[in-house]
Amino acid sequence: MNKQISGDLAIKVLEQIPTPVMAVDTDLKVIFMNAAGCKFLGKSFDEIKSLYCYDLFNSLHCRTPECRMKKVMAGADICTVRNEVKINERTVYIEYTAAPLKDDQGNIIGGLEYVLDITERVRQEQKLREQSRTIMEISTPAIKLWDRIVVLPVVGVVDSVRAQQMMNTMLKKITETSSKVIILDIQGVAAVDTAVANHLIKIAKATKLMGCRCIISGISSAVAQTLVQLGIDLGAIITNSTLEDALSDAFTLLNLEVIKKK
Amino acid sequence: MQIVNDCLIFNLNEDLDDDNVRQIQKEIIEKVKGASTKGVIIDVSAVRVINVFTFSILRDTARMIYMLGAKVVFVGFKAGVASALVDLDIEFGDILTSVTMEDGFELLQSNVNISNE
Repeated sequence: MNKQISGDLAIKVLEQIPTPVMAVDTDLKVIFMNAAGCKFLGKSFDEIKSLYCYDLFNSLHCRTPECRMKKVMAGADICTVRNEVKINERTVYIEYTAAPLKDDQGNIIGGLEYVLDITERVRQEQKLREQSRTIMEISTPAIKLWDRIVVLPVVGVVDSVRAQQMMNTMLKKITETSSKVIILDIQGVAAVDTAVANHLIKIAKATKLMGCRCIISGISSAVAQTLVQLGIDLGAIITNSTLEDALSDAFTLLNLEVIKKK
Repeated sequence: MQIVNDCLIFNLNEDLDDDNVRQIQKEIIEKVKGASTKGVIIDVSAVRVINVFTFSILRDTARMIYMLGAKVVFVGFKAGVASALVDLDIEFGDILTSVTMEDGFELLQSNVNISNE
């Protein structure tokens, strides 16, 4: 049915598609580039005609076995991949689809490719990644409460990723402040099951290895009940119901005393 | 090895591996035996990688020193080392650790005093 479209119309459609479309021969010399493609490169078609496409685009895949154009010409499936191109020292993120170009008999005589500029999308993704990292960081704050006492309030759900993050933050903070006591306040943790308890035990063990005592505070009556019913032994970890008690325990460990002014 | 305040201090090098850890153990034990000291500090703050084997050797060293009548404190385990060892589910036993050298001395002092009383 495509045959019914006249050649002129087909060329007009191709020329006016608002995304770069390119065709190359088997040597990767450009044999066609539509208007959007020429604009993308900032050159006229006469300038780029018969040049090698890898000289024009300088992408990450160019001159490597990653080049999808070569792959499809060798018989691979049509595929769409991400890439980065360098045009006039400017990096553009693109997504290109490569397909073989066949003659009437079905012989491969080259390749064709269309390109989507995804710079905006990539930028959004980077922003999202940064934001999620920020959220991760603010979700596990380690606060220096007193000389050599650090408190880590935990709010929300503790999964293994979060637990790892907590451990890293704590261990880093211990080295930074050379703390002797670290208080893990789990008042804001919704539910404590075996997995969460194991994470807490692990964190306590790691801090002990660093030479720091770990106090777990904010254990509610419900949590105490579950822990006992589940048969979890917190071992030598000091536990408290409130942060206040934990702080007073920490003072005792550091041989400190709070005295009222007379 | 250095001697400060009647304590032996050993600094372990960055490249602690399965081959040289036994040699280090032997050296430490010999020195401790010869010095008749009450306190030993093993500084591990330079060691970047500790595996199950090297850690078990270090722990055994601590036990041996203890049998020789001295207390031992490991100082300055790196954060990465600590979290890796915990992930490997190693039993730490009753080794003494501290973040800084100063704390290590304090810990030794308190322990030695208790044993003297």
